[in-house]
Amino acid sequence: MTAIDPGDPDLAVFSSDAGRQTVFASAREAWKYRSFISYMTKRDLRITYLRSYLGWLWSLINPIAEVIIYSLVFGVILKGNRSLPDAPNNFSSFPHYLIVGLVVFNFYRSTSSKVLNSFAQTVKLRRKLYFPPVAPALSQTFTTLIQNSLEIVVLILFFAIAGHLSITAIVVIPVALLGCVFGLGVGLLLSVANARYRDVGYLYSIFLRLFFYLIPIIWPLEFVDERIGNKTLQTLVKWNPLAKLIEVARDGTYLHQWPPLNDWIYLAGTSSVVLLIGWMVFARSSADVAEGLT
Amino acid sequence: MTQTAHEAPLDLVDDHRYAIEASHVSKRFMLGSRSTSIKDRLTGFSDRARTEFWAVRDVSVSVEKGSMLGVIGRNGSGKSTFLRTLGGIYRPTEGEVRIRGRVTALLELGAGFHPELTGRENAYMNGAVVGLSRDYMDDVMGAIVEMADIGTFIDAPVETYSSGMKARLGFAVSVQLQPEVLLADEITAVGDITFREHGTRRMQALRESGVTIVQVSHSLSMLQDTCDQVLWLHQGEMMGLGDPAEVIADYMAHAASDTLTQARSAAAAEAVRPELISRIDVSPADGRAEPTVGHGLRLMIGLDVPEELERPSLRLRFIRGNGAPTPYGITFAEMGDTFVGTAAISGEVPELPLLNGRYRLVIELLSDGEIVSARRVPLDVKSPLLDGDPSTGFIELESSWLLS
Repeated sequence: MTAIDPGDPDLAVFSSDAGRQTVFASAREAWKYRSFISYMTKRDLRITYLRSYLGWLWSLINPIAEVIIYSLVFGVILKGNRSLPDAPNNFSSFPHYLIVGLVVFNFYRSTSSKVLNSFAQTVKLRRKLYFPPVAPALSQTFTTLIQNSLEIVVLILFFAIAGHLSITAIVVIPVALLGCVFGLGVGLLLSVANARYRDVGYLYSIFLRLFFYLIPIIWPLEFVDERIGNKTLQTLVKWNPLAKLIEVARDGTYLHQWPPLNDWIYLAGTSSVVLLIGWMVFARSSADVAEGLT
Repeated sequence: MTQTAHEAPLDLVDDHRYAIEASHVSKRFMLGSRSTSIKDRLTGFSDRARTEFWAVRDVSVSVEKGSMLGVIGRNGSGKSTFLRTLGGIYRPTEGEVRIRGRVTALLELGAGFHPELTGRENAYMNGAVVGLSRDYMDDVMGAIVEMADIGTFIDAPVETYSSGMKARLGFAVSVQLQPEVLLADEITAVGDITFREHGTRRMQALRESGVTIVQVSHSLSMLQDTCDQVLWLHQGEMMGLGDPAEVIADYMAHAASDTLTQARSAAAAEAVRPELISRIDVSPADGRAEPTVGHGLRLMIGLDVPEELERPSLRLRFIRGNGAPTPYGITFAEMGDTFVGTAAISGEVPELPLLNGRYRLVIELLSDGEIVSARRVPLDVKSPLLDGDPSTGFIELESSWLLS
């Protein structure tokens, strides 16, 4: 949208052919508007719990409540705590196994849903202020990253209280980042379509609920080999990037082992591809959709 | 000294004089219900209903750094769309816009304010948007609070503000953000008279400090007083660009004739034929070079009427350059019961009661009470004493004074 003349950095040229951006141009423009992005992030963080008495405590209460509910329903009532992998020092706790999956999945879920809606939500503001189309998506990603990092604190405390904390638990930090990258990629991919057809958002939230049960969050990964006969399906479930992400996080926190390098390479590769595709689709069509031209 | 072939092409040198260059800018929108559900899309309902609409068509304008451009036109004439195109909010469908300098667009005062944050917090956040440091914002915060003049509300959430308060704060913040190019859409129209005057003065001060300003407004007299050039848009097309007084006068005359035609049937509107008034000569009566306050004005109007007029009459009105009417008009009805053919009518105003300044003389030919022809001529009235700004008021009062 904005073409910057290399010989004259002050000059901005707006013309119709500058509409379809490349990922590179979009990223460079976002960098130019980094103060705007950080402003939006600060603002969103500032208003999240503005009208609540407990405020930021809710970021701690929510994951704890989730763990308690899922432990009760799937651990105690449905006896999902069988087949847990063998952890060092004979440690075995379904809530601890559960919280890792929940926290990692939440990074992905929050980022992707917020990014998906970010474009449609800023249509009105876009008619009054110019900013790069990708800016709200990026600020939502940073907001989620900061907000959800409290869940990592909860997770660490949870393991510390049980006396089952190891230095390998540090892997949850890169895992959380990767979760956000996946979320940003998928969110960008769908956000323009969502601005045109809100159906996309509704469908995606249904898909997220299904997805939650399809990957080993509330059930142990060992179920895959036990219960799924089909080999292809087994591989598909196991090598689903999000399942892999949760597995890597559990390696570090629950099993006290460093995840294999292959897994990291696989995750870095898939997340970059997802982000690149999402951003490409976004940069191509965002300007037209923003103006209601298509 | 001889100069060999210059290394820089001339147009590039020229470029830098302008903060804004719009060349052949057009903007098209697709109208009709935009489908927001897949069902509509699949059934192909909406696509057929959509028609294209050119909100702005082939507009070219260059604005020199530090000058002010006013944009006028009726509601829906494309003013705001054009302004948004300059701000990069809409991309032109055709043509190109080149902007030099940091743009602040005041399309709606307080846009981007978050209702749940206080005025002060919003001001700091707005500063962050355009990349100003917290220290700078600390420095100008006092000026913002003073200018917004909203008292203790500055520390209350913006959602508790009245629309006028929100606008005042928005304006106060925006002008403190060191814009280089300011795009303002009807922003002094909100708020009370004090705010309006304050806002107008503030814009003037910004301009004097070198800010390039594009202002959309319906406040024609303000534009005439402040702008270097005025752009008149009508149905997205350029109707005039240049000297504020002239463009505004044309616009006013157009609006007046529009109102006139709206009051009559479409058929009657078509019946207005300017060519019936074949000639208009306006000259000073007593050998002066220009029409002068208090001196005579000689008028000569030529008619060329091919079809018979019933109870013909000629009507003359003086309107000020900014469109304001004057109390003066002349009706000449001694043309018989019917009239056809050519004629020359001459008359004289012995002592011009107008003040110095720009006027338009509107001449209308009527048949049976209906306007059949109308024409306008510009009229510059000079003062015999003053040489400069137009005097205040509308007419010159006859008076006598004594100095003791």
